[in-house]
Amino acid sequence: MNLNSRKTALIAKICLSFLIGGVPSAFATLPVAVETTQQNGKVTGTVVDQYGESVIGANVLQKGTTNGVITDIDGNFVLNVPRGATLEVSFVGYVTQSVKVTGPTIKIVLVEDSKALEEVVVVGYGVQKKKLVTGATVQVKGEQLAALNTTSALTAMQSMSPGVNITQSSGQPGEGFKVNIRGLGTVGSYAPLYVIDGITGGDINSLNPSDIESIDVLKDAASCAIYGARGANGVILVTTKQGKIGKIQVTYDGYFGWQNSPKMPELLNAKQYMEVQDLIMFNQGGQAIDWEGKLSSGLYNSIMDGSYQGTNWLKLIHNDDAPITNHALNVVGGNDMSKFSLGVSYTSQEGIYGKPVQSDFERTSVRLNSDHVLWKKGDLDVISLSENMTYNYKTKSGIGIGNQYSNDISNVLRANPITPAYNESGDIFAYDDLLASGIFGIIPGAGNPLGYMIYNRGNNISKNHALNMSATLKIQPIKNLVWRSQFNYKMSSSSYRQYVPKYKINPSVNSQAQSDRTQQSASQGWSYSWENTLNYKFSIDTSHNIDLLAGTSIEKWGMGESMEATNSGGLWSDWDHAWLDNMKDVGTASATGSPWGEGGLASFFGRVNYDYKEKYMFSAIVRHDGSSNFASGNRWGTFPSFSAGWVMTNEEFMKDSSNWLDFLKLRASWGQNGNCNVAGFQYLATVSFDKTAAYAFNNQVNNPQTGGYANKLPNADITWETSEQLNFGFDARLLRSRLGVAFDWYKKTTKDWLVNAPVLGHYGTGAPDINGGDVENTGIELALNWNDKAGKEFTYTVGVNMAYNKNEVTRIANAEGILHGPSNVLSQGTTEMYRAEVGQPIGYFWGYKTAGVFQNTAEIDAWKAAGNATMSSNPVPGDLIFVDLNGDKAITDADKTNIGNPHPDLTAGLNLNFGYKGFDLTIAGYGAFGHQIAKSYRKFGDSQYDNYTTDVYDTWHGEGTSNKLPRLVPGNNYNYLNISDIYMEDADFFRLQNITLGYDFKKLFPRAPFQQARLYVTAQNLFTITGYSGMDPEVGASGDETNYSWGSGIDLGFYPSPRTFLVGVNLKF
Amino acid sequence: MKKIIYFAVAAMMFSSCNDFLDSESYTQKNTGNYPLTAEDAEQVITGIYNNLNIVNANPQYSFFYYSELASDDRLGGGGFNDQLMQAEDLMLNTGSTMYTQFYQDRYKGVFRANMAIETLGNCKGVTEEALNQYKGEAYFLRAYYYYELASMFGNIPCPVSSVADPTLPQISGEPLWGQILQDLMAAIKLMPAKAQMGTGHVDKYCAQALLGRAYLFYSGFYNDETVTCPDGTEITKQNVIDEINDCVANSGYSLVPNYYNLWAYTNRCTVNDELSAYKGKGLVWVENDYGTNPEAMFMVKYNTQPSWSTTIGYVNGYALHFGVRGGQDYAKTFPFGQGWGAGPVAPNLYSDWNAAEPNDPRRDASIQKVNDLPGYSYGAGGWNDFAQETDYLQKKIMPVVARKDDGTSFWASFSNAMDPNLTWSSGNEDNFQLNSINDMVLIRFAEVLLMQSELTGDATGMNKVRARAGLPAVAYSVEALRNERRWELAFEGVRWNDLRRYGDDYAKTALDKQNNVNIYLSGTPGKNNVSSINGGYGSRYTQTKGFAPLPTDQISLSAQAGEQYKFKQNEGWGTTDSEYGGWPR
Repeated sequence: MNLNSRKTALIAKICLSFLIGGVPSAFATLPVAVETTQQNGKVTGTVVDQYGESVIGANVLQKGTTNGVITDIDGNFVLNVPRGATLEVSFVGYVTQSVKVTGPTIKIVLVEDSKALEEVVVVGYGVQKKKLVTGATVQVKGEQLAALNTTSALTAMQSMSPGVNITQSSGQPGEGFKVNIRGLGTVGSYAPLYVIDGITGGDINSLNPSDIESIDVLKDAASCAIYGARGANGVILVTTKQGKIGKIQVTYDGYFGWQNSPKMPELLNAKQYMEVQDLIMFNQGGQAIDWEGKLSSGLYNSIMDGSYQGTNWLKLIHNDDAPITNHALNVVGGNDMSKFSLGVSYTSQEGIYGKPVQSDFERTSVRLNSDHVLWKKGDLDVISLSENMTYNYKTKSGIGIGNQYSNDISNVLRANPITPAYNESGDIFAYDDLLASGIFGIIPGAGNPLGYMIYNRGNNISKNHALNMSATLKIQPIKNLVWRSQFNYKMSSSSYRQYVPKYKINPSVNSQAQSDRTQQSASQGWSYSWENTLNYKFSIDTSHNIDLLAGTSIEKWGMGESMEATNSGGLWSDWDHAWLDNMKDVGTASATGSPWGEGGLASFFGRVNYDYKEKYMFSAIVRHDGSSNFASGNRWGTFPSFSAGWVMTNEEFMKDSSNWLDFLKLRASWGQNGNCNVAGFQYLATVSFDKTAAYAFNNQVNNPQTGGYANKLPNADITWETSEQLNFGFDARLLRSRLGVAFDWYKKTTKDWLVNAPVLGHYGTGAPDINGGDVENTGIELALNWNDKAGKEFTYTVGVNMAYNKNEVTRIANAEGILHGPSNVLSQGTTEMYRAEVGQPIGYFWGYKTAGVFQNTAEIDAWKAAGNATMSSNPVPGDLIFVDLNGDKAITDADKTNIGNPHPDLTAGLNLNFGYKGFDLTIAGYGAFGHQIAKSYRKFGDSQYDNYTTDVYDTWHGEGTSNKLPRLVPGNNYNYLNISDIYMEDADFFRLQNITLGYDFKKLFPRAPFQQARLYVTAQNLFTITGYSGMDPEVGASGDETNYSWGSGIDLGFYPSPRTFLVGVNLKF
Repeated sequence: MKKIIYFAVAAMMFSSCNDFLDSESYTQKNTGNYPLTAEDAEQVITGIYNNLNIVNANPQYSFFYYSELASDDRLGGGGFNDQLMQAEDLMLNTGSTMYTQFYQDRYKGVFRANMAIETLGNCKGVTEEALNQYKGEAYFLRAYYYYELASMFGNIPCPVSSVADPTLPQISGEPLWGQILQDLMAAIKLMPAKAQMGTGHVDKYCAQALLGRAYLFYSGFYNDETVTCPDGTEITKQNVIDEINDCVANSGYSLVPNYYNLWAYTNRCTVNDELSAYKGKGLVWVENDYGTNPEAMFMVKYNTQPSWSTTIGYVNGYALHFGVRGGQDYAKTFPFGQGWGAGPVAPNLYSDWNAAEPNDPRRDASIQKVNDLPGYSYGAGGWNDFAQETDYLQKKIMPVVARKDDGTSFWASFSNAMDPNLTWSSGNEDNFQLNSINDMVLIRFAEVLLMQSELTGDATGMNKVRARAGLPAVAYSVEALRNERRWELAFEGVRWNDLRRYGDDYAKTALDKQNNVNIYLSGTPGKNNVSSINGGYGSRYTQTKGFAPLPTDQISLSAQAGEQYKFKQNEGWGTTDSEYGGWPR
């Protein structure tokens, strides 16, 4: 065993040196060290915990060397060490023990680390004991994330981090998330600041969850204050896996899975569709459509005799059992002079929709973190050097998931089912086929959404490389006085290539390409930052503990450039040859290029943490930031915060309750943070000379003269958004620390949002961003955790958390008090349907309330006789009854009101873990409540020939048939075009995100040459409890992400997240 | 050890100076260093003209479009969801920000002109004559943009400086129109006596023409012959006559001998097609192959570089909107191309014209009977969605198709057939929405001749216009002049303001002729029974005097600086009666 594991370790080391092209010098001497120790005596030992249970897999290491083993299934180990040597025994969750070897056998008792008690959390420029933390933070461990086997760490965090609202922006692989902490704080950039290994602004989705050691979320202002001008939206600190002292450990995690759509709406088949279309014509007093006369007889007969059901486009593009796979290899080890951690991982995921071209996502990442002590004096690491490096490469190909004009799922939901997908020769059923089939005779705009998708999105790939590196020098001249200098470098490059072949589906310009077209774009750039901190920790009289931190930071970003070019006229007509070099149409070439736009931030900051006997804690932080985004006089801002804590259970008077209350800490904090995330140069009246300001004098139609104009009003006074937050909370552990409770109440006021408030039209030029909006978020968060054993073998934990948030806009600096949302969201011809307005939550849905449907003319007459208003001057039975809210006897915009809120009031997470004799069962669930979705799977605005879901049978078609959905009409109609609550649905849901059953074969084969060999099966998104009728109740789409990312809950055919079944292994050597 | 600490402290003190945070935009200049050169000056002027294209991006909200649809010559049309088109015809409101886009866009032109007037003097290396020409163009364009804003909204803020002032009051009547006339006088004085015919630039004579147009509207509508300008100068009728006479005598602009040849459907690639009604009639469009139109004084120029998101106004959006509704086969609607069917010709125009001047060739040069097209189908072809369709289309501002070399299919615009060297911005070749790029003429010399007659009461000018149409001379009378303007300038954006300046009764009577004319709804014959919708055209005119509603968002924005600055809504708007709820069906 001992020999085996050492062999494994050696092999691993060799592999490793091969991989990284040389090991740090401390390792180079390692085999020699092992040789010499073997001349010494053999020690046999047992490691048990305080209850006498053997500890399996504990690290036993001769202190100061890398000579070590890991305990076996019975907690035993054998190691050659000289007499008198000191053994260091460590295991996760236990206090590390140092024991002197005095005889041939030894028994070591590990004492459980009173867990949470001594746990440390990352707090920004340092760590802090969790029990001393006075702010509101939440920590998620890497192993918790990895246990859920998600592609992105954010998905896994949904159930574990109350107060962090994470919503998928699409279920398409590789797409992002909308994340806000404690509610939307602005209509600008509300995303929290991500800090990955000290480097700000990284992309958490680039990391494989297996690379993550821990994620710490800073939620209140006091915790975020150390990030000053960028802390207003909260901070997410990601620490990647770091080197550890101990034997080299190699782990492999891998899984493979199958994904399917969890739910598919029922669409009308060809015959049903024809019946419904006829019904519509009939309702209108028109003739039934002459299907028989206009469709080709072959097509008509095959529909009538049932031999052709029509095309279910959605099913057609469903990618059955779409594969997903992930491999992650991690190697970690080191001694007290040098440690390292290496990770290599690969993920690939196909999308569940998009067949035959498919959405596709791949990610490869490599990480190497290492720490070296350069000068050690006694126990003091005087000079040490460390580095972190992560590199990743992502590729993504996708179908359209955008607004109503560029959404393939919406296109397939809407397409008429009569049209066959393919013609008899197996090609896309396109223009000639549509013409011959007679379909154009009935539906002039008929298309083939499959063909459209294949041609327009079938050939595209985006590639993205990202490199994050940091090097840190630490100098500790005297104990606990540490000067730390960290230099960070981040670079990324991306490219995109797309090819659209020549095609013609129908005469509309949007359904044909008269020549093929290739687009190539590329972008690359870098940023750096340099942070210097001085930290001194000391105690006075052993009871006053003081931790001082002072630092500076400078950061510069945007050193980069982008180019894009398009051309047509390919020498070849295929994707492989779709390169600009092969495109020869000189006339159609276009190219653009621009710099990224440089910017910088310079900062001074300081922190004082004080505690008295770990009973009373106090912390003060101040940060002074200067941002290049503002004019010279308004550049600098100061962001203070204060927080205090009181560990009541350390008081004498609490002794009596110590039998049930192990720990109780009250916390309070207040602070101010800023948000400087705004486009630069708002303080200047810039002049545009772009292509948009030209004029074709002298008939220079191909090269119009360039014009110049001042494109916006300057706002020299523009400055930070400020977020002020008050937080009260407590942390408690009860009943022998089995029950953990964390509670927080907060009130976050974000002032002076940078809004592009409308200015008077007669100013005649673009509005600057002004500091013109306030919003208040108030909420509570509660997390309960129960951790226990039943008998010797059965362990379990139950975690429940919830967060409630209320969002209310309190000021918008224009007379209306409104920031308007976009129009044409659900359908062409619809007006604005969401907005930000004083007194309402950001992004609430704005529309008419309805009070049912007029059932008959008598009802209409009575309604009118009573003096009530109607939308149409001549309503007919089947029309909606729009509510005249303000009672002015007319239905106008003034009657529109809050008909829904896309942001949930309440989110909740559930985490269950059970362990029994090598079996483990993990269950994770996540729910959101109190929010609404606006759904439309057809464009009621401009096409009467869109298909329907079977919901169409619930519309009004005679007295008493429906009191919610109005009569069907061809094309658009006031019943449908005026956004009302008929599009709103409650979207409360609870999703069983993950259920995993695993078994560790190490239990069965204790002598196997690894520490863990776990096999598991997982079901993700197994079921969702919801009343929502769409495919997925978690809809983070606003219909215009570029300009209205604060909107959400628009379902036009939202790409749903898949239901996945996985099989995987975890191997540890 | 101490050294290390010193080093640490030194490192911590590193930089953080302001220099580190200074950044510069490498893609934009700013008003601190622009304009300074001759090239800059040219760009600044170009930027003002560019506003013509900007408004073109959303023609449906513009004054030109509104004045066409609201006039007695055209109905609203469009699909049933194109409520805007019908609302403009009916002088009703739809939505809360019906005309915001135009209001904002046109003021952008004013701002650019203000900026130019303020800064052009900084440009070095420009001859005085060139600089004066530039300045004159800026004054002209500011006047033209205010002419449209004042005609449309009546009572508006009138900034003549680039400084954003939230306390500017609304002005109307003499102060507002005085500013317009003052700018035109300035333009006339500044610009050299040199025509810019065919270049796209305006010249002194264009300013004289617009002076006439603006003066006639102001003096008629506000019933005031002598205008006191903001700078105190007075402009009398005689001043205007002098300028118009100068224009007629000295400008060099002239009438195109054949009226037909003014319009794009007579272009050489279309007019002799086998489907053309004019095959072999010897018609030759004056602008064939970028030929100079000696009659065109002020026009919107277009180009081949449209982009959906930013510069869709580089192509003629009016032509698209007025085009034949429905995706009908070009062979059946030849020579006209597809569009949205806005502004069907009101049958009362056709009948008035027929009654008053039955032999006027301009009627058939201006109006197309749809039944005379090769195979027009009612109800917007297969779309089956067309409100207020009539038997007539106007022919002046339309997409004009031409046959491709293959002999069977058609270019969405003849321009592609005429000029094989067009290099369209990506993806926009042969696109019916994006290919109409022939000039849209806003002021023609014929109008100057008609104004001369109207101002002087002498029929000479109008008889020149009649002679060109092959019609006999007539004696001057107000009614003859008014008819002449209606026939000669039909669908060119002047009728609406003419009606208004002729007086309320005249306007009401004319507009009410549209009541109950024959129309088609979704292809089914019916009547234009509007009294149930807006209470009748005349009554809406009485309520509004033809002014459009001020955008309500502008009214609420105006209160930002204080309630006392809040704009007043125009009369006849903001009530429930003034709302359009869609065509009753």
